[in-house]
Amino acid sequence: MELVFANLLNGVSYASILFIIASGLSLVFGVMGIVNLAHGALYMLGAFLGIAVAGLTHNFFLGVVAAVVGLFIVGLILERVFLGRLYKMLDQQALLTLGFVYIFGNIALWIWGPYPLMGHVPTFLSSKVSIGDYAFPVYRFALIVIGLIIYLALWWLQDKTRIGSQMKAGIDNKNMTLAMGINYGLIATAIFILGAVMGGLAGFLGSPILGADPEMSMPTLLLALIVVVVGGLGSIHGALLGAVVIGVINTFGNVYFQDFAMFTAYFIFIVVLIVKPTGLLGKKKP
Amino acid sequence: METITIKTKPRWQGKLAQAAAYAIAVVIILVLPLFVDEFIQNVIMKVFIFAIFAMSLNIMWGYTGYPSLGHAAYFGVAGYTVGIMMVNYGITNFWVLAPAGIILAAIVAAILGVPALRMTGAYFLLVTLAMGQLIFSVAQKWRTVTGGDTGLGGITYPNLHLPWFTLNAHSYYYLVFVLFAISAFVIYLILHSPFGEALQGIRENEPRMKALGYNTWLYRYIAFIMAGFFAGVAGILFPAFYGIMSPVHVNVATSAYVMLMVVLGSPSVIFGPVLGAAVVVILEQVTIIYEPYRWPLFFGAVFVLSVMFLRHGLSVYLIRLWRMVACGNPGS
Repeated sequence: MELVFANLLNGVSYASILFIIASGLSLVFGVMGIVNLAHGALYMLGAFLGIAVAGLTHNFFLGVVAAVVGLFIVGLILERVFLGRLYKMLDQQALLTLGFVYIFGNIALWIWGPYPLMGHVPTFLSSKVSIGDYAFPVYRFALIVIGLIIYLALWWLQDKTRIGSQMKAGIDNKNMTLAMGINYGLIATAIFILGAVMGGLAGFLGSPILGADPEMSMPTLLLALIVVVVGGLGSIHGALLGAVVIGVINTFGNVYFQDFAMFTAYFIFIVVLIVKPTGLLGKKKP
Repeated sequence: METITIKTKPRWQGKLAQAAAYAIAVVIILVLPLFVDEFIQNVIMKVFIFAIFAMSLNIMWGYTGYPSLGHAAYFGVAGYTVGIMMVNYGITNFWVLAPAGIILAAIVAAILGVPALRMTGAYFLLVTLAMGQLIFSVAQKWRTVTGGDTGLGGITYPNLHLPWFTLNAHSYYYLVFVLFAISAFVIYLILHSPFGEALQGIRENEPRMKALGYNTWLYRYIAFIMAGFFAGVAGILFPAFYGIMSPVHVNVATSAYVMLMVVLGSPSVIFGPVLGAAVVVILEQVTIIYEPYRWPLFFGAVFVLSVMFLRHGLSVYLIRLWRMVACGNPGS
């Protein structure tokens, strides 16, 4: 029973990382309609940048700043120079971002080498709480709290602010939105950057548990896609639900039937796509 | 998807010149192994194998308008079938291995095509990506049969059972070329048949084709299976050429590799992917000679450049050049 409880806590903290990755993808893909196959690569870049800076300065928060600022710049360049010119051209967006997966992966390999790096937990969060026979790291509780804060902030941004409405209006009809005097180009760039920063932040926050590895882009992207599609595209609540479902299933799968853990995630993904393509909480097709 | 239609009716001089060009190309390809070393011969072989693969992807992408992100799955199924039968069961007869690999690839396409074709647009990209990774996980995790991450080693040349022709590192080139020529010809015939015309009609305007009485889903489904079939043809040739079949040959990296061939070569031109395959493979070999660790960087950069600046592909420009030379008129 304690083992199940410990695994459940592990699963939920893993789900929290998944949620932060997936929320970025959900913003970019679900709300803006951009198929960003490089989202996993952004996650990887965030992890490496954060670990490198935190390692140099011995300060966890400077690592967070490095991941956020680094991904802000990368997101800005990706949107302004490339994706902004491919509005609603799905195939081209997918191919372009697929190309960036290889570019970022090779640059990371060049700078940080082929071996996985692990992030370090900040000292004030490095203690453990004992649950029965199991020592549970405080950092994992902190991850759950951070995930919840990001969830509430994004919910507020999407549903309760003017920018959230303008963003949805732009995706429904760009020309009409522009005619209303809203600078949609600026909003699109801002949302894309926010998505990229979420990916990078998840990479660094997850790095004490999941590490950083130049080959991690595609597996991470697939997990995030599965979470977003299972939960429902464009819905922040859906991303949370999807993250919890996939996170817990994957954690238990890894303990009890290791070889088939990823298998179950793909299987759920394909079944959801066939039975209810809008996901568990999704409303409309983008 | 955007396409450029090229009028395919040059004057008779143009046709004659075209036939002459094909004949010269075939003769050059047949005598080439006598003059070049083994390395270059291997590069050409790789171009042919991946040209079949890229043309198969283009049946779905260029002619049906459904770009698949998991096309390596069918290539991998055929390759692993050949590898498993050869390494685990000792079967070397080409006439058993080849049909088994190709038909299994087509069957897998027929199974995965049913759910995949319920999707359109971004969802089709995602579902094919997930299916490709599903097949990849099978190759990676079913260790007793597929050899897991290390792959299946020790794959040799199959036996053709012909008294006057045995396959070895040298003569495999001719088998690859013959299968390439047959595949290219058959794909050409299919795409220029009423079936191929209907596919393009469905791509351009599905409601109208439906109104004309076409079962558009069935057309697309048959195209999906054919794409899997020809990916299988490339797949059965690959293991003996490479000597090893590993999960890398099934995953998204391989799918992306052929996708670049199609983008670069022109999805709208029937033999465009062949040109794309030649450019990508040669670029890869040259990069590997000078900067072996930077190939993915170049690969990604070429991808980005061709999406941003060469959206219609190289073939379109080559065809214009050809029209100018052969017919004295660049056409439309």
